[in-house]
Amino acid sequence: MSERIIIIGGGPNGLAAAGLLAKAGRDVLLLEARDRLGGLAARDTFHEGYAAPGVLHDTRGLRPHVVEALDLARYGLRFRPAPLNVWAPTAAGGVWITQDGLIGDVDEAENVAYAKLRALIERVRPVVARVMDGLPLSPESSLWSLLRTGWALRRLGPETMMELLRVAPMSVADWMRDTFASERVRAALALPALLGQHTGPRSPHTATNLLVQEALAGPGVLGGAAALVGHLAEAAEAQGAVLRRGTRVARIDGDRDGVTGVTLDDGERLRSRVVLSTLDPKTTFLSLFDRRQLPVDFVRDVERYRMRGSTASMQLALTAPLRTAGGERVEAMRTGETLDDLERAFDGLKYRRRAEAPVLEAWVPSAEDPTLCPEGHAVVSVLVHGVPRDLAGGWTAGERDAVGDAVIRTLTRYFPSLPEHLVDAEVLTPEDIEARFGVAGGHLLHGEHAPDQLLFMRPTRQAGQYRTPIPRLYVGGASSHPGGGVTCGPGALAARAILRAKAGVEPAM
Amino acid sequence: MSDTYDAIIIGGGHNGLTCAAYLAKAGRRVKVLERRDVLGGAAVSEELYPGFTFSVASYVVSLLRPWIIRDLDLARHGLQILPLECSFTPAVEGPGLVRWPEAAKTRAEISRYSQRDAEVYPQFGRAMARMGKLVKPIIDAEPPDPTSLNPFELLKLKRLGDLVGGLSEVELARFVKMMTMSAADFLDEWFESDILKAPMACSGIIGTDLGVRSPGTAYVLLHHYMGEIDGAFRAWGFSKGGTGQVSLAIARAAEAFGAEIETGASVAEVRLASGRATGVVLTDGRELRAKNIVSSVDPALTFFGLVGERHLPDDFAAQVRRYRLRGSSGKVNLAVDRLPQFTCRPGDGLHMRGDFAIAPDIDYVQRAYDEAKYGAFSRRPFINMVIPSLTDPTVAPPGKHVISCFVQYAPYHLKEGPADWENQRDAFGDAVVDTLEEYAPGLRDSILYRQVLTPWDIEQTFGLSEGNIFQGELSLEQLFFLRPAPGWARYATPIQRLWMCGSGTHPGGGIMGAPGALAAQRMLKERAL
Amino acid sequence: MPQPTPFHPRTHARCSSYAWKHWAGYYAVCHYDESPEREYSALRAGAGLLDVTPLYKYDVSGADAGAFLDFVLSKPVSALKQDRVTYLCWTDDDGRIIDDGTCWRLGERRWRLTSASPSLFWLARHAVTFGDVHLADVSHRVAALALQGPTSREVLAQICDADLDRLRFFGLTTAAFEPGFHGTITRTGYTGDLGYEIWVDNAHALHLWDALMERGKHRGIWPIGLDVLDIARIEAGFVLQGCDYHSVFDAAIPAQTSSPLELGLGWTVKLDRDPFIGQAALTREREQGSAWAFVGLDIDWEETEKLYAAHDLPPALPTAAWRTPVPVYRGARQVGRATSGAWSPILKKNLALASVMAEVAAPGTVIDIEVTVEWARCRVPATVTPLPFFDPPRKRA
Repeated sequence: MSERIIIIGGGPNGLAAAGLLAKAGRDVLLLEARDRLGGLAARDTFHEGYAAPGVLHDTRGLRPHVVEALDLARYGLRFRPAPLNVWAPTAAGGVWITQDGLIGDVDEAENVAYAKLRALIERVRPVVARVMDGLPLSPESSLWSLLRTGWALRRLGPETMMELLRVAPMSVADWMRDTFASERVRAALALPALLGQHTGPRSPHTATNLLVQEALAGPGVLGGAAALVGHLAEAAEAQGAVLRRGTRVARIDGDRDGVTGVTLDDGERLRSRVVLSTLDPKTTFLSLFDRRQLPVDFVRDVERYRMRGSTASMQLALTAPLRTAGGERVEAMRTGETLDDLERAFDGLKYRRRAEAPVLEAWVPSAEDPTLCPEGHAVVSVLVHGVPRDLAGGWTAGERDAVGDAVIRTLTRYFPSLPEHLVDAEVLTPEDIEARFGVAGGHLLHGEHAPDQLLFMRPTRQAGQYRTPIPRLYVGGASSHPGGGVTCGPGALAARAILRAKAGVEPAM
Repeated sequence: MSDTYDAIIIGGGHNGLTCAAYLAKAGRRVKVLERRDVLGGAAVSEELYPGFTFSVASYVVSLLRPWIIRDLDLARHGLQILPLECSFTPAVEGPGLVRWPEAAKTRAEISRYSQRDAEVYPQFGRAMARMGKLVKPIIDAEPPDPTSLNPFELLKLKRLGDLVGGLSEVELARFVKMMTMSAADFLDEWFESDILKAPMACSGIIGTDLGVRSPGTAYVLLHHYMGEIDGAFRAWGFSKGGTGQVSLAIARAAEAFGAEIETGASVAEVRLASGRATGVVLTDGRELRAKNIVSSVDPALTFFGLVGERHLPDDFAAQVRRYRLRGSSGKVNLAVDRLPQFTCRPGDGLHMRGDFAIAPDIDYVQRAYDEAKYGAFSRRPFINMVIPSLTDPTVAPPGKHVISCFVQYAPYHLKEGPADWENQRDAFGDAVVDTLEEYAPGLRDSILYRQVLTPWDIEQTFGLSEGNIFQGELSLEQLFFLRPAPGWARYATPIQRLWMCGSGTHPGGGIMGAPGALAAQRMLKERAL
Repeated sequence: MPQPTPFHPRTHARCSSYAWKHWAGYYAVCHYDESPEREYSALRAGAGLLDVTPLYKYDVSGADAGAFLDFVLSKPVSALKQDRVTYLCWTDDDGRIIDDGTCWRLGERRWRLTSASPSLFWLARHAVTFGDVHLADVSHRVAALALQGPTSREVLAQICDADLDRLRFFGLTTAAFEPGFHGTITRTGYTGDLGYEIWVDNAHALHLWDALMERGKHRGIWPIGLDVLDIARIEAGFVLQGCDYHSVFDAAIPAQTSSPLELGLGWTVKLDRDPFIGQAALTREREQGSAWAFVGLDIDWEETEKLYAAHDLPPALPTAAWRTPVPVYRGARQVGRATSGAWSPILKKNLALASVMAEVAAPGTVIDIEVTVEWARCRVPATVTPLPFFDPPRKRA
């Protein structure tokens, strides 16, 4: 008789883990608190007739090994023929970042530099993928896996290896300044490295974020994150996993001898020998579990885990798609014309202030998914950087509106007719994100990507291998290696860790 | 060729002199050329106002390697380090905080702000000291080459690996945090009181273009605990007679070993012949020949100023170009006719004999950085101040004092351009005095003489490019085997017979002497001379 | 700078030796006169009076205070009866000892904890996770005297209204004192003798001292210093922090830490109960056995005398206890370290406390201890002896 595994959280990681564990013959029960699956990538109607597919859109990081293992193509997954073109606007027109290079207001030298950057990323891609797609290397890792990674690094050749060692600790601002002459290009490429950061592009180690993101990037899923969630759910159910929606876990049961199951908020108790939480560690260990059962040093590490939400989300319902002055359709864009614009947006966070001029990453999901809104209309989803969870004085309706106003002001600079087409909009402050999606701090990556919060130290050293101090309680959300974003990596690796432990390869702690 | 030296060393700062001393000690014929009329580079003492001796630039001695003091017998040549008594963080309101060498005294001080922090503070010290053991072998040896497959290099890497591997899991996690976190975040994990955290965090930003909340600033905290590992408790101190005495002691040692030292000898260019350095040309037209040329000036000045970009391989030129200097600090030196009186702790007690940190809270120093990021000096800067005349009466007339203020942030790159420092120098000096006046009213009226050194002035006076006091930022991508450029961390350069030995090489800036000594050792090992 | 305790005007006036030391930020007397012998005799024959104000004292109260203390401490104190005191310790996650001290049950929701080193940061760190817990550091508000020795009960009875005959070993009572103030009496101590500790507000400290000295003068009361206390606690087999063991927070390396089981404090650890800090590690250690044991050593006196005789010297021992660890051997192999020791004036034995490997911990085992005579390192046999060395029935009577 197969023992039941309960998975808490129906985001991409939970779904991937459910599919893989079910495929391995386990009896899987996934519990999602909301009435819909997808977590941060769940579809929500924010205005009659207009829906947004969650707040996370970038699916380029989806791990190919998950796609393959779950045979997602069978359930309808298609990749985009090419990544979305990203518009980095300026008043004069700006630059387009495309698969074929930079187009627009840049000279040829920039394209040469861009090609060199792409080439570097292609060279390091296998090494990054090896590190990110395996169980995290740690001091306990076998000598063999350490050697193999070391060897892969050396095989890059001395120059690439040195370049990697040089770039890794750098600030993304310095790296971009070293690489490009155009401030617009620097800012546009730097911005994605700042998702979930507490400080701006001048912060050391942010270059790693960009390098890793790009090295793991594929073309992205056609239809975006919402489509991916559908495929994952279908695959999991096809393997026999039970996905229960509208089921909120109030408590994870067990003690230091091991986990025994969960209790739901309606009092129902579900027994299980193995529980996998894809929630963030603060929620899992400080809210759902009896912290007195945990080693005090572990509790302290969890308390110290940094997940200071710094990004708001905004959905706009428009009666027309976004078009540049030249009439080109915009599907993705990034504001912040200079590195200083980016830096300034993050300045206020340290003083618990929101940015007067936040920088934005915007997507138009309706371009790929016409079911989101009436035909000919558009839904725009925006990540608004520079908005603290712990706003001085607290969040009020007025403060929330002010964020929306700042976004519309910024967008209107590039789309002067936007106010005329605006039907409605919804702003989710980090506090709202925390409340709606159950992520502590409203942090979109379930924890800042910083060197001490990655690899075997994500989220903490005692939970860095998906195991936790509580036997048979596992973690496998974005706060585990390889980290946040729509990648399914953590969920898949957590499933692998569970299966290995079961197979006796690695005993549960 | 009897007129040929074994080595000519460009720059008579403490590293150039150390390198010369080690080479001369090994029996080599060495000449040091110093552009200024005074020796010492940034480690220099000058009587700028009658009766007052200023440690013009570098003002405290911290990590001067004890083995160099022993090897060169510097005490015999006049070096004496007087310990800094304490670290005083004045407050506008409240008692302020003094950290003493005595644990019990410090605990009593901290407990005025937080009982909890007072209890944790000694534990923090022990944890840091434990981490410090990792840093010492790194700064006292030349860096390995991680790309090499040479077994000796691999062995060196393995030894470093073993050091890290010898840590417990808890310590390893702490080590990663230490190496990568921001000073403010790292200290938040230990302490709650701002007045304790802020001055500690500031030791992580000195000389950098980073703020206390910038990742990567925590590891410099370690340096403060290095003294204890060295077996030289209270390693921070004043050099008797001013910082220049460190350089002069090393110079005397070098001369005792037979080195020639010439001041007022400005090098215009490094002479090359078929890709090899063969000598130097001075601005007075003289040409000196040597088997080796050793530059102790920074990489930008060495390669672009003295060698010339056209003689460099493209890749290397690009590396030097992107080597980050970005000076971020200035100096304000004051001669005063009486001791300043701090409102929070008046009098001339022992608390005045250490260093002062104007860093009342984390937000204050972060704000100072946030202003400077966009090309303006901080209106309310972080100031590290010392009054050496209290400990060393030889530097000022009786009853009068010398005050040395290290000030951050003063970005070299003003938004109006670095040359605009000429227009902003006085305003910068005023900002410093105004800031101090808030803590020690009356200071302004006691000033007899004021010297303001902006990064622009530091560049003009000392030849430190962009006014960077460390000859290049001490950020991870510019340290160890990456300093000053990947593949060129062992004092050699792409120009044969041209070497580097300044703070722009491993292990970096500060009055350590290690770059000069390690460069000399490397040259001797390669039988270059 | 150390500060004077509230008793300083009296202790200072009597301290003709000027032998002071620093104890937890206070000045404390080592011995009042040149020789501590008089003080020792007073302690074991009359009543020794010792200023123990420097102990750290924390008041813990609130609806969840019991649950909190149970979580932090080695034994559950929520079950402790009103007006009882217990000796215990506390550890980190790894079951390594942080500190030892006493815990008193003062009321339904009130406890007091004493400790050797500052513990507020550790208590506060865990208190925040329990709802209603109030922590107060009363160290600097409460003055304390230890009155220890066979006549201590008689002396104390002279100045307070407490029914001391009914105050059992490790009991606690409040009392009105003759000069007109209230205080707390615990039947506790660090001497292994009949004795009490008296806790009052700083304001009453001098009145308390004067009353005890006046009414006790015909009953053998005598002020004693820390040197005598050190001898007495070794006779009683009590561990001393910073000497016989190091707190986790003071240890430079893990090897310098100890578990309660290794220190012979296993009896203060109750494992089978709700989770507490160190439970898992201590459970494992109890199952698997400890690598180290804390034992008494009776150092062979005849052999010691012979060593001195070989140098034509009479045997000489310091009058105070020693605290510099020395190695102990079994054959050629070092099997541990003796951490403190003293000549016991009452037992006429040369005693030591030692941490030794478990295999040589059985009573009666003879091992060798290093002794230095005339700059020559020698070894003298020592017999492993159960603790305490000295345990008079009056202690519990």
